[in-house]
Amino acid sequence: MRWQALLIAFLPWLAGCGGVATGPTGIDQAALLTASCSGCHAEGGQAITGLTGMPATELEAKLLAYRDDAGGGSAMHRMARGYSDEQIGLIARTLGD
Amino acid sequence: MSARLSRRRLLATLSTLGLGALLSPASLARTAKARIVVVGGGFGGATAARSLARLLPAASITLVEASRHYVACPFSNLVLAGVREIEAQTFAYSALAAEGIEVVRARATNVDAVTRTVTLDNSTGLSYDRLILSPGIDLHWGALEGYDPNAAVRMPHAWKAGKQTLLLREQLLAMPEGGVVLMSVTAAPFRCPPGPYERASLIAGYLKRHKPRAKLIILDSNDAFSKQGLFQAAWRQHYGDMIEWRSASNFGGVIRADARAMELHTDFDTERGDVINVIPPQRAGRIAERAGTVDASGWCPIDATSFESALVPGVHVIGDATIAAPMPKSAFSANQQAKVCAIQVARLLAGLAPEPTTLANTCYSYTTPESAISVSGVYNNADGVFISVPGAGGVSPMGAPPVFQQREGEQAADWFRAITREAFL
Ligand SMILES: Cc1cc2nc3c(=O)[nH]c(=O)nc-3n(C[C@H](O)[C@H](O)[C@H](O)COP(=O)(O)OP(=O)(O)OC[C@H]3O[C@@H](n4cnc5c(N)ncnc54)[C@H](O)[C@@H]3O)c2cc1C
Repeated sequence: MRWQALLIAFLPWLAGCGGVATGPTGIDQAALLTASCSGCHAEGGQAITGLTGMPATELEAKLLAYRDDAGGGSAMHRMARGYSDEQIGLIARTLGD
Repeated sequence: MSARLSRRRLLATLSTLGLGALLSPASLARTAKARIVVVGGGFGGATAARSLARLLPAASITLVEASRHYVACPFSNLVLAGVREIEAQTFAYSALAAEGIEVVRARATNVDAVTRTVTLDNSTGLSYDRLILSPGIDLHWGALEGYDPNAAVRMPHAWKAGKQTLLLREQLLAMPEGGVVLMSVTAAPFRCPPGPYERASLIAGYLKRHKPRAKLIILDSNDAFSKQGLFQAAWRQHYGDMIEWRSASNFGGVIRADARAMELHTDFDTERGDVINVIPPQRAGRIAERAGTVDASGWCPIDATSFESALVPGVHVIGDATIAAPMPKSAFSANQQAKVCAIQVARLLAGLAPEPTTLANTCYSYTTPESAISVSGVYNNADGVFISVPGAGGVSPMGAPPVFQQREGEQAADWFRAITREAFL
């Protein structure tokens, strides 16, 4: 039975490695929160940064800087203001390298 | 993907597994064999089907979509303005089929929530354990007197992208110099709150280039609109007095359309147009009503945490069809609601309670083909309702330098590429 559980939990992860499947990779809070990110940050564009390969510490620092920069007017500034330290940490650990 | 990222994903998955290991063998077997049907292959439905296929690779995922191709509404106002082709808006379902999703080209005509069956217009039935509806909007024909499918040939809505978009574009092209374009905007709620005003901006841009003596009048059934200050500043800056906006209290609200005479009637007077775009009253796609998920407002009340219908158990509703205010009816919202809903459905099938989280939205609108403005919001969905997070969200800064708005135009283009890739490619 454990084995069945393993299979169900691992297949999405394996599919993720192939680079074909789209969508959340888990069913926990990390997956729920990062559902907000992937619609824009799929890969790098010319004006929206891709997140693949960014170290988690760098990502966390960037998100905190967006949130705490009171004068910032970009969409990312306005959205970052809605997240707690804990949420930003979890997002960074999930998406960061 | 780097080895470190993979390990991190693995750890995240293992923490999920920690919960999974508590499940009974029977509930795990149910998860594996689960049948999930998604109706509607737009931004909501296509994203939901793909997310479920990834989360539940052993389950059977069926996507029911009436059309062979999807024509995206976001960026379709650029097509109207003649600066983008409709092909760039058009997406097939082959990538979804290649991922093991059974894509059924048919229209869902009925839902029996007791036997948990969806009926299709080819008379087949599909059984489900969980049903996700993402049917978008239906135009509420007749709710505006005189506006029916025939009138929409003379006065296109172009609020579902495709033939209607091209029809309105042709009419704008054919309009004589010095002509009058009328736009009628229905009372909120409607799909894409800033969409009518983005459209007015881009049509004015086309007129300025090709028919500089033409005029555009917006007859509005609302007294205020999304990003109003920014739009009106852009209109003055780029289009002078070409655009006139008449609010509801200024007798702007259209009460009758006369397609033969090419006239719109308000409480106060009658306006004749050479080209008339009617953005008509809307409601949830008809299948949502057939499923019993629609209330007296014409839209679907949901539990904001799980996206399960407040009226019909086992049926989840996402996207434009839902009552999700303060989350707007946008492709951004539909795509994200789809991912969150897919996770909650996977949790429910695994015997876990849906988990509240935080969602966000940004809607970009072009004010010229190169520059855009945006509005953002962040929402918590605990206790089954969406609540805007105080202090977050809001619109682009007023009076920002042109390079800021050009940057937002580039961000919008990147957003379109990313979201259509996640949903369709
Ligand atoms: C002019 C315009 C500009 C816009 N710009 C933006 C923008 O810049 N950013 C943004 O975020 N949003 C924008 N939007 C809004 C966006 O298009 C919608 O919010 C989004 O499409 C909603 O997704 P959905 O999945 O709810 O519905 P849809 O995308 O409409 O998908 C519904 C699908 O379900 C299918 N369907 C319906 N009923 C059935 C049935 N019974 N059986 C089978 N299939 C069925 C339909 O064929 C359709 O493919 C814009 C809209 C307009 C009109």
